[in-house]
Amino acid sequence: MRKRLRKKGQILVENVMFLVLNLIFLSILILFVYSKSGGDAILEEKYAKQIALIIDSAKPEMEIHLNMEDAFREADKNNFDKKNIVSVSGNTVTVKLRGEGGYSYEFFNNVAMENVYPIDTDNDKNADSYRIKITGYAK
Amino acid sequence: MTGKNKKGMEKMISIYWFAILALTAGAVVYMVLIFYGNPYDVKGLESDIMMNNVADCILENGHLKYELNNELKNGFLNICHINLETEEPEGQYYLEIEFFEKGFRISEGNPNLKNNSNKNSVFSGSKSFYSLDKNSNEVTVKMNVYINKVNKNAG
Repeated sequence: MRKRLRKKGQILVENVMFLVLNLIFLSILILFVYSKSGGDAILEEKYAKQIALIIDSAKPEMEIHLNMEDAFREADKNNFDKKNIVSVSGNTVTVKLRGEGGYSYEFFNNVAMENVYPIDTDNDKNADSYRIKITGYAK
Repeated sequence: MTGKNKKGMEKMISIYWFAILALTAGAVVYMVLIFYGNPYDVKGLESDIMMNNVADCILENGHLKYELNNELKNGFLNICHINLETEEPEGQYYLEIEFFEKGFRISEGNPNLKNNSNKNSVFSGSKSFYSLDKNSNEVTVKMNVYINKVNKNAG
């Protein structure tokens, strides 16, 4: 009787170990995918290209507010100033979320614009978007 | 099934299970690296936006806005507010517009992209539409856009 009970206990421990190992395996996979999808370099490229495409299709007098909360979070983690995340020089957009690196992409729409800067669109006193204002065509 | 056979079977199953786990992990890592390792390819979107911008520039209510002459040909980029300069010294864009019934053609950018042997790296987009000239004669307009930018987009 005692022997049978011990055997049942062993089966339970084996199953629990099996489940725990499976969970650990799945968690490692999910963490790997998450780390690859939300990395600084990926975000920099994504936003540089997005902003370049927005400017390409923009018309004079348009004002665009682009939500960049995830980029701001990453910049905070890296102690990088939010005001320096996006910069436009000539027809090149550069997005930087850390001291080194950054990603640049060119746009072909020859427009003039005001300096881009972060703004707070939901009034929680934290900047969550970038403001891009097209003033006209460049001469 | 005897006790020995059962144990052997369990060992076999655990080896298979380990193999399946390794295979799954390998496949996921491979797919993630393939997907996130390559840059986002936005050449198709860029080409569409450029063709829309050009169409908006040369047309007004379905009529050609400008006389088809050398003034338009030479100053096309300024007239349509297009800047094809890039960081790379050799041009990354080539834009070609043909007005069939008028035998008129405008081309801007790096013409080598059109005859590039590596068709996989250069993106080409094309669009054609009908329009009317000042005398309401039909003009077929065809636009071709070639974009290189291989280093910054998936090939």
